Amino acid sequence: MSVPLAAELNELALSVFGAILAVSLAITGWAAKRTRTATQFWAAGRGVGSAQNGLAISGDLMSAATFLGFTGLIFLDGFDAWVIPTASILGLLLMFILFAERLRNLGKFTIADVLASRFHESPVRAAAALATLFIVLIYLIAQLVGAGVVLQALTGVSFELAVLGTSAVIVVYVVFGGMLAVTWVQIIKAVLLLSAGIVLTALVLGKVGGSPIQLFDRAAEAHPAGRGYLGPGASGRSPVDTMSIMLVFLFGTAALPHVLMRFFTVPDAAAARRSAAWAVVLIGSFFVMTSVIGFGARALLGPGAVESVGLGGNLATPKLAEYLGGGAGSMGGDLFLAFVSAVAFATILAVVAGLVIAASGAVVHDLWSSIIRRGQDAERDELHAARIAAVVVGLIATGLTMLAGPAFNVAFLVGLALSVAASANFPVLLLSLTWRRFSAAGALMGIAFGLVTSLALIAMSPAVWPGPDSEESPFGLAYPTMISIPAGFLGCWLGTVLSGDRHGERAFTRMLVRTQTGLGAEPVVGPDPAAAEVQ
Amino acid sequence: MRTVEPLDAGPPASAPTETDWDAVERSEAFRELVMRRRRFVAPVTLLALAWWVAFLLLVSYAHDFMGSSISGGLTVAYALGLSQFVMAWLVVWGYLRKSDSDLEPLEQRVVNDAKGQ
Repeated sequence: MSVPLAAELNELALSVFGAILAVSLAITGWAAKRTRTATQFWAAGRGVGSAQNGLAISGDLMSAATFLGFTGLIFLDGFDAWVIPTASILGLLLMFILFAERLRNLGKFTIADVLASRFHESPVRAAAALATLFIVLIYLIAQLVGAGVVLQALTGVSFELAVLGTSAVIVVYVVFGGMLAVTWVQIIKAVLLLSAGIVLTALVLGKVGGSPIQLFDRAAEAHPAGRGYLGPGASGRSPVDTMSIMLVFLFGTAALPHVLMRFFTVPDAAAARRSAAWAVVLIGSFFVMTSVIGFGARALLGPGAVESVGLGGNLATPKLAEYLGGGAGSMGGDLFLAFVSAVAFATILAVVAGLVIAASGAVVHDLWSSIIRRGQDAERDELHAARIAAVVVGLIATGLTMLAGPAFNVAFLVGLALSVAASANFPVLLLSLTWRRFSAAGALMGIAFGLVTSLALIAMSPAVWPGPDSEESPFGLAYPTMISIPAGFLGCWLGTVLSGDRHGERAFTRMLVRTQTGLGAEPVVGPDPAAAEVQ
Repeated sequence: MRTVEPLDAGPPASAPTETDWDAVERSEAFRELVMRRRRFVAPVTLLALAWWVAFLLLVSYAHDFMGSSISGGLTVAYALGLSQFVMAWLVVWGYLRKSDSDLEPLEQRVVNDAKGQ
């Protein structure tokens, strides 16, 4: 559904987009000189600083969906929508305290590396890689559809052109600049996004005399549910649906492969801890700001804006920015709108790039190099294959996005990706790192159970099951997590108990020592091409 | 001239000797490290999750209570939601402090002892 905001916006927004494009391509050129080995391609030489990585991780999670989507949903439904970020932040906390340092101590480039360092059997690596690929591809399509729709609404460019252009640019980033380029594009975007958030928050509070309570009151006045808008219940969502959606964001966020991959880009475990800490602080602040922005949009734009903010309220924040700048058609309004649109654009580019490199990692480093080629390839060959994979992933994702079209329900896609991450990845990752008895068979069964239950229950959910929503679908909830997460853990336990695999315990000792101390961790390579030659 | 290097995750080729993992695991320093870390992480994680689950249940089932006002438009719901972020920040700060003061020195000891083997 296209809701163009203004004809004049075209040039201004497009020129700011052009500036962002130019800067990011310059970064790519700089990074290309420092991307000569596989370690530099996948992990930026492991030289990324803590604050930098913290910003990059924040960038991964502050997608256009969070910036525009969360604020839009808060505009529409109030508190009911804000509970979602409260779940995400806990997910990030789990990532910080359970995964960050251990991953850096264990893994090389991907999550499958982490599992393979304990379970040397190829099927485990393959299963983890396929789960990663599945999650990332779904997320990628969701982001690209969203990108097409948002760009179309903000600039008037056609959906197809927006998607093609975005994919092409991103493939260039990844192929030439690798993880270093992706990281820095993410960092810059995160800084822009946080700045935009701070400015909007400050301006909103300014309009209500600096008092958040005034803000809440005015927002409630502007909503049919009145006071109910400020507490749970305004959206009419059932209790079980509420619990399901919060669980999916909690466990799913903690196990997103493209975010976890970032912990391999820092020098050591301490840096991994600190960068995760940075992310919790930055994203937490951002999520609190989304409540001010969302409520602010409701208070200042009023109930009449419900029509114009588009599906899911995605245009609430741009409209709010326009209003705060001076209103539609004014110089300030147009400028603010262009700035917010540009931030949304940078966000899309950065997040999609991170997803493409994660997918490429699963395909090449896990499936191709380690399994099919049995680790016999020289690093140079893996690098070459990685670049080809990035192009192929870009092409496939673009094709699927075109098929899906602008009206496709991306919320369902994001829900699917998060459900699989929560049900297949999280249990297996957690138990691999902490349970002595856990066996390879357990890991396989855990991934299988988590994946299959997620898929089956989502296929049977009201949004997907064919027929009008008034007809009863076999599974009544939007998210399968109440069943699929326990199923994932059950699979892990069942596989372990049935296999009676005892030799896995030796591998546990080695893994325990490595995760706790950093002994045997992959060393820093750094960006220097000369050093790479010596490696 | 570079030789072909296997890519599978394993001890880096640069490690001069294979670490005796069992010996390290039995060592006193390592045991202390694991115990101290676990003594912080386990209760803190469980408490944080418990607080969040309480929030989850209240959000799902106690609409009236959550919607009640603390001061004007500030609802119990919003205050409890905000507390989740504050809690996350406190946990992060606490674990970083613990790591810097207690855990990292212990890690260093274990690594030095192992390298000295």
